[in-house]
Amino acid sequence: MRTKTLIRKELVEQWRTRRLWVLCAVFVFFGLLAPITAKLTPDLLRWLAETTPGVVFQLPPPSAADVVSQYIKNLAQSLPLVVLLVAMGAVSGEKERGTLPMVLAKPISRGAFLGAKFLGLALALALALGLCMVSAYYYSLLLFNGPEPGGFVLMNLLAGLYLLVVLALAFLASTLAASTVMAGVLAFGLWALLLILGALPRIGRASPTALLSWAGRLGVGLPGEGEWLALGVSVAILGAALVGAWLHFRRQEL
Amino acid sequence: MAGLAIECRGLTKRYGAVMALDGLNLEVPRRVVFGFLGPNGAGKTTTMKILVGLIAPTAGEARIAGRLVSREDPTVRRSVGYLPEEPAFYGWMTPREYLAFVGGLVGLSGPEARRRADELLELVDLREAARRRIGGFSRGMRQRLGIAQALVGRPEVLLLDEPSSALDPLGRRDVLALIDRLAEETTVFMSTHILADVERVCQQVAIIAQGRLLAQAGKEDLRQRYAAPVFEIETAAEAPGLAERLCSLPWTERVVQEGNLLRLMARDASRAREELPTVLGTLGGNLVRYEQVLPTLEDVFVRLLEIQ
Ligand SMILES: Nc1ncnc2c1ncn2[C@@H]1O[C@H](COP(=O)(O)OP(=O)(O)OP(=O)(O)O)[C@@H](O)[C@H]1O
Ligand SMILES: [Mg+2]
Repeated sequence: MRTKTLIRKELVEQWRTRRLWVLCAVFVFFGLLAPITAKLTPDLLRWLAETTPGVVFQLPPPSAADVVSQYIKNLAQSLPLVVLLVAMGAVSGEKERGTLPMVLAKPISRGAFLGAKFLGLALALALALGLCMVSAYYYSLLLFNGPEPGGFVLMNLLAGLYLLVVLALAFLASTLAASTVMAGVLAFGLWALLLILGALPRIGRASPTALLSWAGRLGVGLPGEGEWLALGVSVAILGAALVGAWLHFRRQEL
Repeated sequence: MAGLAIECRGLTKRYGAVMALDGLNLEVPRRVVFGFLGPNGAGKTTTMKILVGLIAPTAGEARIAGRLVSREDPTVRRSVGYLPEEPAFYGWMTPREYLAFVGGLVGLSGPEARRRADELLELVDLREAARRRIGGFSRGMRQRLGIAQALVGRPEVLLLDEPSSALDPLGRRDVLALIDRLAEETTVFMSTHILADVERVCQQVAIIAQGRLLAQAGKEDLRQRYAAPVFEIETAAEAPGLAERLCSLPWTERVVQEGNLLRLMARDASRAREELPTVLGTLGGNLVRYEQVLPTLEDVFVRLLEIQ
């Protein structure tokens, strides 16, 4: 009952404060952007070539594979930022506004409060990513012959796990920091660290960013090994961030 | 043991070099309105936060209704309702939604929670505003909603941190009347520095300063035990030098002057009664009246803090 009340509050809050709508709209926007970019890039280049004498472009016609690579690029670069922005105020915002003391003075555990908050965010992320996936898929079907659906869904699941890791890191930052600005800085730093580690030669294979290249391969139906180590590490980071947030929040003086 | 609503033993809270609470001992019986008094920074808010598990004491322990308070054990908080010093709500909710939300948190079912919300909106006179967003509420409305949310779970003990400050005189009167009514069912533990409010609603009082208990007693007891006898002297025009003259008398403890009114606190009441007429006789027609009056809580409060 109590946990249900807490989760309900998180979801209604996201709805009423328009956060859920904005999240979904931005995700759908980037979802639709992928097929559009894939379609228009060759046209754009051809037009450039025609207006610039002496330049000749030889381009293959755009395909569903271009959609997928553009899509995964958006998921990797733009959407984590959106996730950071939405999650960074989750706990710190309540600290700043002073709404915590009255709620935590009720017969609920701090763990339940924190858990409900994260679950609310994760559900919102799932909804936004689902809409993003569906809109990107149908638009690609219209413009091209569409990516192969099975691989496309798997790709989204893996990218979703990556975004969930980013969400958990931002959530940890929000719990640790006293203000939302500080939480944002910290969350961005943690994400940057993830990217830096992902770009390193050996360690990169174990970093959550490796999930994205795996996701990209699955999306276009390329063969190749699964990045199982990265998958395990991602789940471990996710768990560690949540446990860390709980350990800190449990003893936080309010 | 079972008779106590609140019990603190050696409660200590240190913030770096600051001792917010310094071995506070306190016993609050059930079914009273208990005034928790102290100057700014005395440790009132700190005590209340420990009692609801928002912060942990550095040392010592606190019990509510006989059960040890701890941050980790939410069940103790079933018996407590808490109004913080500055209640803050989710601005996007309506008061009815907030109270129903709290109802869920204290374990009521959906319909029960909504029924309780309506009851409480009626009680604190927010029926008309039930469907407005809390974001646009005035300070007084927030304060009343804050009291309502503390009552949702019908707690045995109510902790109210300055429930009447920041309210206009009418709002204060309403809140005090409400507290009076609540006392029939619960123990009310309220902190304040508005002594007039304590005079009105509290039966028992504790005074703390610098994290320590200075005195605890029934309101009347406290006056008799700690306040010096007080004489009021009123003159038609200001009497120059009178205060100084009264001050120099051996049985005078202190003289406070407010315009034409002097309050004299006496060390020795009977000598004061004997000798005061002679001193005042020199005033002639300027003297309007003089009388021995009951000491107020303010006299007690000021005296205790001075002794300290
Ligand atoms: N989070 C904190 N960090 C450092 N010092 C603190 C903190 N909270 C309270 N204090 C200090 O502890 C002491 C007691 O504070 P507390 O808020 O309990 O006083 P109070 O009696 O409620 O005062 P007021 O009447 O002004 O509300 C003060 O000296 C205050 O500065
Ligand atoms: Mg205070």
